[in-house]
Amino acid sequence: MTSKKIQLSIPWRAFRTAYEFLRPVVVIVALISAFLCCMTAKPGSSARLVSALVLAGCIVLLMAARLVHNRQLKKDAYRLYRSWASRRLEPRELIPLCFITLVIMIPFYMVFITAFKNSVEANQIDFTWWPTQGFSFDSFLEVFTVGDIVGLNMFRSLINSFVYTMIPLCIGLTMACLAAYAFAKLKFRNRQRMYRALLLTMMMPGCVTMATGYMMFDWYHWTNSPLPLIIPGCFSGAGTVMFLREFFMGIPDSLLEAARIDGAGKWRCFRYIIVPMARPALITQFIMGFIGGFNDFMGPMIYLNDPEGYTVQVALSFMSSMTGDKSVMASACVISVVPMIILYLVFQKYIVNGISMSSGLKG
Amino acid sequence: MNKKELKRRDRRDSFSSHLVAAVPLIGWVLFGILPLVMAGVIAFTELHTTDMADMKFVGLQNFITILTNADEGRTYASYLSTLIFSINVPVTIGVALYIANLVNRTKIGKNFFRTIFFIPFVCSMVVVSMTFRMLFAKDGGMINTLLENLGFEPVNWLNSTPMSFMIIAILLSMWSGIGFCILLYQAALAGVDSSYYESAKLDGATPFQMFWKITWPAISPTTAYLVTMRLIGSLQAMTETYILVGGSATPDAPMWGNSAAYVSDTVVKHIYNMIFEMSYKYGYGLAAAAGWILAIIILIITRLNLKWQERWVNYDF
Repeated sequence: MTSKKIQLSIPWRAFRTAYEFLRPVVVIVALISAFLCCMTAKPGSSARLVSALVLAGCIVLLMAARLVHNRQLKKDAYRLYRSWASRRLEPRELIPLCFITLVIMIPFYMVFITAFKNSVEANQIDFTWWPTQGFSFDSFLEVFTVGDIVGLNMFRSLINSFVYTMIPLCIGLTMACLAAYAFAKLKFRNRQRMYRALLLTMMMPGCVTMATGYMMFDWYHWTNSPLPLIIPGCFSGAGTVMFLREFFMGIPDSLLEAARIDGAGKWRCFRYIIVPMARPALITQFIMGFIGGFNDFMGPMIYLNDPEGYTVQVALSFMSSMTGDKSVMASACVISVVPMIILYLVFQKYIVNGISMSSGLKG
Repeated sequence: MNKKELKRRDRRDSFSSHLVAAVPLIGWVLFGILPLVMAGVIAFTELHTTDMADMKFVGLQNFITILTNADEGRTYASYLSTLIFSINVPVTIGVALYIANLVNRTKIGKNFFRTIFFIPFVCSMVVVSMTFRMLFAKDGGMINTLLENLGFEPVNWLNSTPMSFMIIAILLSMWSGIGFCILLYQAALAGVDSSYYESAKLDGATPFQMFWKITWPAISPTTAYLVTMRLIGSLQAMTETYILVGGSATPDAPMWGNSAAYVSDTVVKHIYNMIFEMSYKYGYGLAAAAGWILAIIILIITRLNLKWQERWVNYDF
């Protein structure tokens, strides 16, 4: 490649770079203006005219640039362009990606910046991109006091969420681990039959038992208490057992046999071989279970009626109907979501592995 | 150690194995079977409280009520809004494929982009919905302020028409779920053998042909998985729209030409309403019947989906 040096003319190079940078932008502007043209403005208003003009301009610009670009490509050194493009940062991929990143981050930015505004600025009719009246942390304090009248306390609900998630998670994971060990490595008469029954439990449709599940827990006098959220989870579920079983199957039998010959019993094998080797899978299940439990909304909303026992998600939903203050709501969102994001960033590897493993797809 | 003792030890071991393996099943028997059996019974009765003594046998009346849309037209309306909400499935998957393709082709920052795109997935649906409510608020929402700065009329996104509300709901679902799809697609795309592309390039295939003849069949198992999972999730969606209207029982955007039904009432929300908001009117029996019907519909759709996937999903790559 380097032997054939074809010098590109400077204006053409400049045009090409500009074209690569501008094309996605122009396309996006065209799409937005087309959307606005169709959706928002009243018929006949100037806004619609403007967006239509912008759209037309974008299309003309795109086509003209495309024409020039194609001609230049044919005329000039196509091969050099290809090699250049494969060596450098590729704006063709990076610019759309950066734009998508921006779009995906904008809601987060909006929530964070609203949380740091004071309540006057947050609730005024124009959104401001920056807290022009200075940063204020009052709304974070207000989150913890706003529900006092009805006995709702954000701090308590955070603790509630933590407890209601941790108890079933810890006990359930232990149980699931033992069951998966039995299904994967132990031999007993009804193993296949029981495993098939376990798979069958996954077929149960959740929408059917919504009414009767509530009735059942009402008979037990468990409604209006966290017990319906905690107790069923302690028995662990079919999904966790299946995931761990898959992992345990991958541990070679020869290891266990060696331990057997040295005199280790089943429990010792489990405790000193299986559990240490399965640590990544256990961490994955733990993190995913924690995020799932912490973010659960339907269960707590159905079974918890007392504001003192609310979990964070129910408290958030309750607060949003209680206060109209946007900065308080944004602060509450930030408080509830930041632990999850930190957890995700720290344990990212495990979560990614867990998702690709539980989907059962290769790659 | 004689033979008898060995046998006893075996039996003891077998018992403990059975016990340990049975724990998840015991949990299901305790908390799973009873509601299921009860749902089978009370679907044929009229019941407005949790007390089974109030039960009144009505035969197939509940199912007829649901299927003939006799509950003030709420059932069909709820199915309509669920169907419209399900548009998010193809949209999300298509956009995710595009982004995953971009991410896979960049030379720098692959993990960075994947990390960023996945963050919305770990946020709870409540927070996501509230964020979107703030984003698209009529007064002081970011989108409306942007529009006003550009010289447009502010739009009442959430409360004016059912369609604009649904667009927001679809966007929301897309935003929160796209990271998951990108993650799986990226893994699938990275797993495609590059020698296929090289030989196709030698034969003079265009990028479009290469995508359609190589990439698409190679990643079709992932597509099938995502379609199935997201479709089942979308048909049972409730939190998204419930929080998006403000968590109250009376949302502001009525359904197409039906004043009793609201656009935020998806099928599951409708069942929830039957149990908790309006049990005096509909009650548990009707809710159980509606649940069965939804379950059967989901089963049929999943079945059709799997049948359809047999035609285009390629597991040989």
